[in-house]
Amino acid sequence: MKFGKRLKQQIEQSLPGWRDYFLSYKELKKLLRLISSAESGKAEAEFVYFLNDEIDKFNSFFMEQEEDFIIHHKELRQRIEKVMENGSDQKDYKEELAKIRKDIVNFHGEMVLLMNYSNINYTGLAKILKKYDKRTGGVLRLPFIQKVLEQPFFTTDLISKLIKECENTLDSVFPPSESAVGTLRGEKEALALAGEGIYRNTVAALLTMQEMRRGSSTLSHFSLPPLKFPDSDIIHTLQILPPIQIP
Amino acid sequence: MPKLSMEAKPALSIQRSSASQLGTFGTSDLQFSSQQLEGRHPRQPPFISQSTSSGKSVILPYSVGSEALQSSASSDCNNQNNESWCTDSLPEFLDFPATVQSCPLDGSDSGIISIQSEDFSKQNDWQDWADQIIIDNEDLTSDLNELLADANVAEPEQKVLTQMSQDLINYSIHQPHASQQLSVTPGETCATAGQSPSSNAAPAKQRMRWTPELHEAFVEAVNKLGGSERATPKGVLKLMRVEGLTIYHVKSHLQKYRTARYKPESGEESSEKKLATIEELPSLDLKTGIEITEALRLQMEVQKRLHEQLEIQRNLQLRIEEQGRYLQMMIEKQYKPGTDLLKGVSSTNDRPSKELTDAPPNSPPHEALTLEANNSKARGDSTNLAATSSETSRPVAENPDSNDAGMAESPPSKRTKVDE
Repeated sequence: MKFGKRLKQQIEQSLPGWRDYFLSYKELKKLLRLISSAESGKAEAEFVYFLNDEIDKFNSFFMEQEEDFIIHHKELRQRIEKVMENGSDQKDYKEELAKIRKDIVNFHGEMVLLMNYSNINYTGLAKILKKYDKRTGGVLRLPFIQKVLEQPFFTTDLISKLIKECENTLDSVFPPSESAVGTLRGEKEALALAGEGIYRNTVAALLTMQEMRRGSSTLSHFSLPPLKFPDSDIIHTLQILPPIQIP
Repeated sequence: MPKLSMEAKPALSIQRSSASQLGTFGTSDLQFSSQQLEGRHPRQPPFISQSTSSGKSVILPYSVGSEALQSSASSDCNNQNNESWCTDSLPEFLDFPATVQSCPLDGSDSGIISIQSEDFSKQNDWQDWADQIIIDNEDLTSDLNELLADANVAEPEQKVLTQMSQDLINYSIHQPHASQQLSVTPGETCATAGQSPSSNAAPAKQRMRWTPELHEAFVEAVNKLGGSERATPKGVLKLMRVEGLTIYHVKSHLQKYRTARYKPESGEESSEKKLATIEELPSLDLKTGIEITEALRLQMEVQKRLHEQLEIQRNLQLRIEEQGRYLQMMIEKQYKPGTDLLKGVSSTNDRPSKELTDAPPNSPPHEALTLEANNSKARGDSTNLAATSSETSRPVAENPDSNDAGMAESPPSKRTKVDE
């Protein structure tokens, strides 16, 4: 129940084009309820088919995004090279560089969000499989999850690599400033200008992650350890409230 | 018999073989399934595990009565090899036989297979237990006592359904061809291994998983042909000379490429929206400039943090499943009927074999693990996994004397591990 709610929140906060590609957790739970031991196994079959379809969906979406990222990554590189070459034209240079910087940051953000997408879907799959096993007394979970681990949408090494490269590029092209994370004054407004969709989603993802791993009623010795990062309070304050929907 | 390629592959390499074939695969010397297949021809494993090097493959636990099911099913579902994850398998699945006895495939609702209850109650037990041990998220069921209570309720009935689910998994979890990673070095064409021979079956459907290297080759080819506007998919495909790459792949990629070139700022959606906002500002004075810089920096910080946490979480998840595999393997070995344990082969001592045969169905999993851990064979088998999950295996192996102590040891060790 809890996960379903969190997932829903995540989806709401996510980038618009992504919302249809998350795990249909609720649907799967519904299917699960239809399963009864008296039946012929039709419900089970349906469940597994649905799961497979979901995985197809993840894979397609993920690889599509990944492909876009690869292309975009190269483009950014070329842009930077070009701008660096024409260092002479001062005015345009500054603007171009500012644009590039913003683009890199947003690009970085999107890739991280894709990883988050991957992870949250995986988590959901693991959970629903567990529920399945519990309900049917079956042993679907373990082998199935082994296969999931190998799926494209979960093998995120490339994206991770691109993310790190982005960070390096940013550091080299735009040397990091001295100020610490603490100064929030005025930043919130300024953030409205930056990639708000990405930013909001990122913060939401962090918070969701933290909450999912916080102590819950079922926390036991075997749960994942709670997230610990130093300024988690600040993360809370960074939450941008969703805009009021004007119908 | 479908051929099984065992080389290590970066991409998915699941061979679509006949449904739920049991059988050990890889170099594992686990005899569990093959024991039950005695008398039948050895099966090809349904899929290749990720870590082919270790040979610690997933053993499908449903064996016994389902043999008849599989032998009849195998002929039917062997054919296709090359579809996407799931979709095409539907009709074939429904043809799976309904009962063990009736070999010919039953058209309608695939049904209930009566399987010996004893095995399933055992399987239920260890699965529950394995689940307990596995570190998991919130809704992890509680503690061992509860588990034991569950285990006592032997459910001999329709684990069938799981058999069927297993069929489904094996049947539809497949097709790495749908997502190959082709590594391209300039001037060469090479595809990463693990492709089933019939990969050309449905080229239009296959999804290509692009890599930076592949994209480099693509860009090179495009440039040679005079740029993204002038280059044609056919020309690019020819120039690239990448095995397995189809014109459909190139076409769609070219389209993306063109779009990216001519709208460089609007890489993905959200950038577009906010870009407009910034450009509307007539002048960016210094103050705002600094604020924007700061905002970007902050955004970056948050993003980096999320990335970091995601990586950690992912690794944890991988480890959890690894331990799960390990435990399953251990437990399955315990239930290996015949030879080693029951006959008291030299590598085992008398105690385990006696306790195995005498023990009531409920408790074996617990005793079994410690006993099994004492078995040098087990240790030999699990060296690879032991290396990675050494914290868990060590305590188990180091308590040869009392089962209870051994049993009590492993959760605490996990506890401490988790808590830090």
